[in-house]
Amino acid sequence: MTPGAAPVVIGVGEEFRHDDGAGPAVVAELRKLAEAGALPPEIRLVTDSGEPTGLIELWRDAPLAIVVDAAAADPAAGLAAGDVVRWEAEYRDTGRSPMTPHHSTSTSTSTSTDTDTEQATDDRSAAPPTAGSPLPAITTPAPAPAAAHSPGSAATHALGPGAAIALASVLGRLPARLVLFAVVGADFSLGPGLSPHVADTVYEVVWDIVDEIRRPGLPARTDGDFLSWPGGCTGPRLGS
Amino acid sequence: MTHKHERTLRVGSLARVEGEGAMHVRFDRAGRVERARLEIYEPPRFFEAFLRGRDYAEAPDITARVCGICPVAYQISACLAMEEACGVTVGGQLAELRRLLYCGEWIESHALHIHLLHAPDFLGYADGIAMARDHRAAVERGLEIKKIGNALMALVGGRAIHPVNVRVGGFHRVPTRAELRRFAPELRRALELALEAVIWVAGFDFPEAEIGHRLAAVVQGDRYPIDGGSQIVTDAGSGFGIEQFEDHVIERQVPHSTALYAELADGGTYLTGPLARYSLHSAKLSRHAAAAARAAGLGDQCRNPFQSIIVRAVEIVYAIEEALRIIEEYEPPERPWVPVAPRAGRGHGVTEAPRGLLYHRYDIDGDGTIRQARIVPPTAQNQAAIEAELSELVQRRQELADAELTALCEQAIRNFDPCISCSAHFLDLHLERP
Repeated sequence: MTPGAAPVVIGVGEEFRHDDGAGPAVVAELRKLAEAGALPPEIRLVTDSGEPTGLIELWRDAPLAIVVDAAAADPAAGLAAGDVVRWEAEYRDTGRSPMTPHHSTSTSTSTSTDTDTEQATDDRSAAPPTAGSPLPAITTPAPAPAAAHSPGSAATHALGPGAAIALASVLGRLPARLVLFAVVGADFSLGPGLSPHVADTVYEVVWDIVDEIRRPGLPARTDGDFLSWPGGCTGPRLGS
Repeated sequence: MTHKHERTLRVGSLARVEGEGAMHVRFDRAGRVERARLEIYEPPRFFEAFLRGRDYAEAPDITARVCGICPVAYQISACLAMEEACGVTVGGQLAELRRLLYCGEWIESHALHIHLLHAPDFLGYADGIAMARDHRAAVERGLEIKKIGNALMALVGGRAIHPVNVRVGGFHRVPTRAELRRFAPELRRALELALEAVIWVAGFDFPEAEIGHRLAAVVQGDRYPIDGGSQIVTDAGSGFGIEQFEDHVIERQVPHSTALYAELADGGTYLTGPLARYSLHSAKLSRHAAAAARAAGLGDQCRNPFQSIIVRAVEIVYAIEEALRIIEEYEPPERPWVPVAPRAGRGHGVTEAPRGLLYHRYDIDGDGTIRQARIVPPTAQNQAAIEAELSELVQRRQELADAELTALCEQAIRNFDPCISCSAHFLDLHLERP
C-alpha cells in the first residue's frame, strides 16, 4: 500500500497559538490510541500547517482523509467556542451537493462552478454548491486585514484547507472521501494550551473520527476490536 | 477612478505573498507620486530578543521558525555564524550536504511562487486556483516540482518544513550513498519539468521595466551562490566582507512597517534575490541552467523585475543540477558533524535564501550563551527598493484606471516574492507626554 492509499487524519494548526492547536491536539490523542493498538495500523496521523499544496499531497489517493482545523466563528452564526462543525465533500459523480466549508475566508465560491470539460468529467471534482446550505459562516483565525480575499488570492498565510480543497477539486486530487471537522475556538493569541471549551471538544472530535474510521469500506483490524479502548475504558483516555 | 488630484491606490491585504502586508500609493495634487508604501503589519517576531540567553547550539532550530518557506536559509546562516564564532570551518561532504538541503528549499520555494503565486498575474487570473482550471498541466507540473523539492528537504533535513536534522557542525544524521542515489531519478524527472517551466514562463508578456537600484549578492567562490560565502558584491563593483555587513548596510525604522529598512551606507537602496544573483553570477550557472537562460532570452544580466519569474525558473534548473552533482559525487563523511566547542566571540553567516541575501550575526559567551543576535532577512533589505519600484511604475503608468494600476502594482510587488513574515521586526514605542 502506498502512503497515499491509506486513510489519513490531518490535524491542521499551530499549537503555540492556543486554540489554533485544536487539530494537532486531536491528532496527539489519536496517536495515543494508535500506540495502544486501538486504531488500524495503516491509519496515518499527521499534523500540518495547512499549506494547500502540502495538504493535497497528504491526502492524495487516500480512501479517506479527515482534516481537523480550528475556526473562528462569525458571531451571527450562533456558534460558540468548542462547537464543532462537520462537513463531508460530496462529489460530482454522486449527484449530491458538495461541502461548502466556509473555512479560511472561504472555499464556498471556489469549489468551481465552471463548465470546463476536463473538470466536468473528473470524478474527483466537487460539484457546485447548492443554495440553502445549512452550514454556518466561519473562518480560520486570520489577521483582520486579510479578511477580504478569496482563498486563492489571499496572502499565503491566510490559505488553508479551503484553498486546498478548491485547488484539489480543480486538479482532481481530492481523496475518495474527505471529512472536515472545524472546531470553533475562542483564543488565537500567542501561547500554548487550549481554552477550556475547546479542550473538552477535543475528546468529542476524537470519538467522531473513530466513528468515521469505522464506517464501512475502510480497513479494520483483523480482530475487529479497534474500538476497545486501552485499559478497558469505554472511551479514549484523553489528556492523560 | 478617484479624482485625479486626490488619487489613492490602496490594497488592504496583499495577495499571493508570504505573510501579511498592504500597499498604499498616494499622488499629490500635481499628479506626482507622493508616496508608495509597502506596509508590513505582520506582528513583531522578537526572534533577536529571545535568542539572547539561549545556547549557541539552539540557534539553527530557533531561527528556522522565522519562516516555513525558507527555514533552511535560517538554519544554515545560523550554523555558519556560530561556527565562525567558534573558529570552526565545516567543509567537505558536510558542506555539500548543506548545499543539497538548500537546493531542496530553492526548488520548492521557487516552484510555489512561479506556478501558484506569480504566473496568474501574467495570464490574467485572480489566483492559482482559477488559473488551474485552464492551465491544469502547468499547475500540476509546479506541484510536482515542489513535491520533489520538499522530498529532497525531507531526505536530508528530516522533514520538509522546519527540518530537524541540522545542527551546528553539520547534521545529526547523514544519509547513506544509496539513500541519495535512489532519489536521483526523481531529480532527473524534476529537471525535465523545470526546463519545461522555463520555456513556459519565457512565453509570458513582460512589461518594460528596469531596476534602477544597486544589486547585491553573496560571492561563493566560483559557484552560483546558495549556502554561504565570505563576501558580498554589488553591481557597482564594490564589495565587502560579511564581517563588515553592519558597516555597509544601515537599518532604520519606519512608522508604516514592522520590518526595518535597509540601505547601503554608500549607495542608497539596493536589491537582493534572483535578479541580483543572476546579474552578478550568471556566468557560474550549470550547463542546462545556462542553456535554459539563453533559450528564454536572458542575457548575462536581467534587470527587468517582471522577468524575475524566468530567473526563478532558471534557478530551479540550477538547483536540480547541483543536487544531482552532489548526489553523484557523494561519499558519506566519517562523522555526521564536526565538534564545535563554544568560545567567546562573534560570528557572521550569510547565505542566499530564495528571496535574497540573509545575514546572521551572533555574539556568544565562553559557555556558548548567546548575548546578541542580529538577523537581516532579504525582504527587509528589499523593501525600500520595492517601494521605489512601485513609485516609478505608477508614475509611468498613471494613465491606467485605478483597478488596472492597482493590479499592476500588486504584480510588481510579487516580482520580488516578498516574505513579509521573515522581515517583521519590532518597532520601539516612544510615548511623548506633555
